[in-house]
Amino acid sequence: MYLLLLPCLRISCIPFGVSMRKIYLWFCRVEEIVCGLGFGFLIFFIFLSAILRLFKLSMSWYIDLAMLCLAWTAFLGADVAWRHGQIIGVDIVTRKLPAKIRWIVELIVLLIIAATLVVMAIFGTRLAWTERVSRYQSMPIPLALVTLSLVVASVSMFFSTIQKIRKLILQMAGKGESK
Amino acid sequence: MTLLLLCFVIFMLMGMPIAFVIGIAGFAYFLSQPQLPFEIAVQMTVQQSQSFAFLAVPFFIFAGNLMNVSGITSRLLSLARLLTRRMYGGTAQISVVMSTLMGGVSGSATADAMMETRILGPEMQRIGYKKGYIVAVNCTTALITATIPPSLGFIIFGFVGEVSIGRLFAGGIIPGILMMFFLMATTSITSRYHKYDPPRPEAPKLSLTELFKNLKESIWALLFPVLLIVGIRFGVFTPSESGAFAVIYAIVIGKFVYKELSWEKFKNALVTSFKDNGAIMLIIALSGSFQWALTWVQLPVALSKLIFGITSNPQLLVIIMLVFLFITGMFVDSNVNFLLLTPIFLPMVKSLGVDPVHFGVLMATVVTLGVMTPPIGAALYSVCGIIDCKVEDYTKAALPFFAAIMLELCLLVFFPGLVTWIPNMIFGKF
Repeated sequence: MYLLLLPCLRISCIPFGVSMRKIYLWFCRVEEIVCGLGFGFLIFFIFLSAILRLFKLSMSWYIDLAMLCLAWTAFLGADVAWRHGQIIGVDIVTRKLPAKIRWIVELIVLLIIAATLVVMAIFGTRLAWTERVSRYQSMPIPLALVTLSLVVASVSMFFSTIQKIRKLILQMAGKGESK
Repeated sequence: MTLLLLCFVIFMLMGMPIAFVIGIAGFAYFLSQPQLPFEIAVQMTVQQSQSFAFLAVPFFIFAGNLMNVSGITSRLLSLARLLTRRMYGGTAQISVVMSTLMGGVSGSATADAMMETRILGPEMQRIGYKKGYIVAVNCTTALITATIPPSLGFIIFGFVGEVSIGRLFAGGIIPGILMMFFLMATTSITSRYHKYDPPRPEAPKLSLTELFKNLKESIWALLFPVLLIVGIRFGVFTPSESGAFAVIYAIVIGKFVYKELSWEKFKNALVTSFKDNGAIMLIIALSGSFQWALTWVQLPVALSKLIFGITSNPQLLVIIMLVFLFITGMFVDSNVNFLLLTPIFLPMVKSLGVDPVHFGVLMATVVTLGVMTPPIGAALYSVCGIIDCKVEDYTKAALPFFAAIMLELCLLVFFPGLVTWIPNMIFGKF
């Protein structure tokens, strides 16, 4: 079983070769910076809009921009959390299973998640394409940018999932060899 | 409906993260219905992230993390120590009082439980408290933090049920304080029973000078919930904006008053916050298609028929719902419970004349309790992990605390004024 999976593992490792790995790490760093900046802007826009309202100044585009920041921060933040193992399932049943079966169940779960993320990225792109002409009422930015946050995060989460699959297969193969 | 629920149960048992469980179950339903275009499912996911009310979630998460690194938490801890030093089970009592004080600046029970266990856990172990008891005290008392405003549970309930978040915040004040007394009494009784940490005769009596000196230090933290409610009441900011205010407040106090907030600490709090926020927002976003599918298969109607078939007495109905929420809370994530069950239960209780703020506070308390009840609970696992405690030991020690919380909830069910008095006084009657 593990021997059959190893060629797939090599294929999945292609994006994580030495230079590709650097690109991936660089991408992860950029993602975290975007999240941090998005968070900062979010607070700044909302706080400022509250202050300006006190002086009877309404800036509706602040709110729209904040909502855009929220989508990007939330979805990219979800990927960062997923990559750092912060989004976990309940193993109350699976932890009682024998190691081999537990690994297979984990693998199936990760494969289902990876497939779902691909579907989300494809349909998200199609949705963003149909929304490309719509603009925010308060600013000349396409509404599709919100949908694109989900697409980018889905792609990013897909790669994080592939990493998890890779680690799991290596773990399975390692165990198999030791046995 | 079968496919939806089957996917939900199977994926959850397989150990899939709950966000993906509800997301994939919802997507599977959409794929099985040819008349429903799949783009709607994706649109639902995106739309869920575009709620102005939800803005408060990342803000209060960040504010809570900032308070911990800006010196506010340590000052509240020293105040709690001062107030409880001559009590039986004094160190455990610190946890109860500290949770109450933290309630005014933090909205997350799990974060509070973890923070207190990290700080008080080693000290309690040294004094002789058993691990199960330490986790039980620090975990269950964190429910006070989630009840006293600001509260993430109230924000999510208010958003989903379209109930005023300001009123819910105000409604949590008396139940939170009442919970403190109930849990202090439980701590006192249980620590006497186990002979934990008897009062030291050499501990000096609390003097007014000492208290005022300490209050002067911690006033900035104690003032925050007051400013929050007053700000919302007078329209200075909406509940969502109050979260941004909380962040700025924590930065200003940490940097310029307590002078403990460094760039490094700020950065760490920021990274922790966007990861926590991402994890919660993913659940919220992916629940969009699932919620839509639940309505499509008319589950709310079926469930309300079933419950109304049992009784139409408002109080009994609320109790049945709370028991149901307690049981689902043992297995399902608290955010999922809010997102899926609020639209089902709230219209039912409203039709019987129950105040939505009253029900909201009760529901938020029980649902949040779900993070502490075995077999599945985020706070429970996080806190048990910190001091390496067995879940069974925790469960045994936590039973009196759960009983105390249930007793308090019963009191709140039969005396709604305890919840609604402050919101009605501040915001006027409905």
